[in-house]
Amino acid sequence: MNKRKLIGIVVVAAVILVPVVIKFNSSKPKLEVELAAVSKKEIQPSILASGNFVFRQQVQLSSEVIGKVSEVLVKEGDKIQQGQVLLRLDPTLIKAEVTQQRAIVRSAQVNIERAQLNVDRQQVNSDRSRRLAEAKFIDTSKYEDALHQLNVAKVDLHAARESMQ
Amino acid sequence: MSSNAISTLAKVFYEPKSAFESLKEKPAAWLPLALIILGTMMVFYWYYATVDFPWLVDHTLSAQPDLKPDAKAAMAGFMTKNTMMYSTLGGLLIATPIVFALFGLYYWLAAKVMGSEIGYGKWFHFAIWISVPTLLGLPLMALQIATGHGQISTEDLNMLSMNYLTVHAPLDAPRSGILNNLSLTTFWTLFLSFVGLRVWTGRSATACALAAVLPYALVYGGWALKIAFSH
Repeated sequence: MNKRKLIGIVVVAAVILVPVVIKFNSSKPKLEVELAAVSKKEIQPSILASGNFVFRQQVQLSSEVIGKVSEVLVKEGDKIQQGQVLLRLDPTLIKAEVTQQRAIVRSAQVNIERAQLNVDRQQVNSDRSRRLAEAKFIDTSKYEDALHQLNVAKVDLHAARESMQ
Repeated sequence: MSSNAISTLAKVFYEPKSAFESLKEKPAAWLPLALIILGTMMVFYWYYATVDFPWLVDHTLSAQPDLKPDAKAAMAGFMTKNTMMYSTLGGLLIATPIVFALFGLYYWLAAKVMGSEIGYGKWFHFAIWISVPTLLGLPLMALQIATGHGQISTEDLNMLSMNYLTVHAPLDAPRSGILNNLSLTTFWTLFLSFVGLRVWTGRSATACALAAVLPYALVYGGWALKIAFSH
């Protein structure tokens, strides 16, 4: 009975151990190669592959002024030259702004003319006050007031001219 | 029942004659049947969960160099991880009892020819009991999966196959099919069927040996002849 058990255990152990020994002792080929018999085969005439188009040079275009595009003069894929007009902006807003700025300029010119007239008048006043003060017909303070009014008129003229810049 | 079944299971390995004597009256083999089916399913689940699948597809397709590219593509399309895993597990669950039923049918017919009156049900259980040595292959399969780094082919899983133990024929070699199918446990099962038939029918050793060897001789002999004549 015990002897049979022992034989059974030995047989079971041998059945399990023999393949394990074979597994760990067998040397595997270092380089796996695939052999094929020489035969005529059709070469596929086309190759399907996926890819992406990329630009050799890419330029980001931007306008110097902000406005609504009224006309695009080129299509995608067109060849263009340096300096070529690519699109036009709607000029309505810009024209309105120019008109407004011209009105401001005219107004400033009128202001300058007015200031110039004021300077001329104050110059005349000042000269007359100086002569009267020298002849003792008026006080020296009257002459100084007239001189002050002339200087103020000159400053106003200068300010009006500066606003034109 | 279960402790009795476990001791009988162990006895099949070291004292088969005594095991079959005790099985003659109560041959219920549900425990070994469950162990064989569930154990094999668990091993194959582990195998398909860890195998390098693109490698397995390449390996399987490389065994059929004559297949046209269209057929290869169709085959590769069918061979998805889930398809292979669930078809194998489902196949094991359904086919294993069917194979035992067919073997039981054979032993029932063979015993009838030899004059035995034992019913078919007992021979069905007999077919399961004689297949108990296949359980020895399961830990070896697990060892292959654990040490194979995901690149183990299905034919290399069975370390007890004659191909693995002897010549290591590649998958596309004509003899690889029969050698992969013929396992050390096949001979053990054959020996157990001989012992079992002797004990259950009480007929001569020659008659029982003939009955035991006949199905294997027909299947493997026919297979070997087919290979010999077709190459």
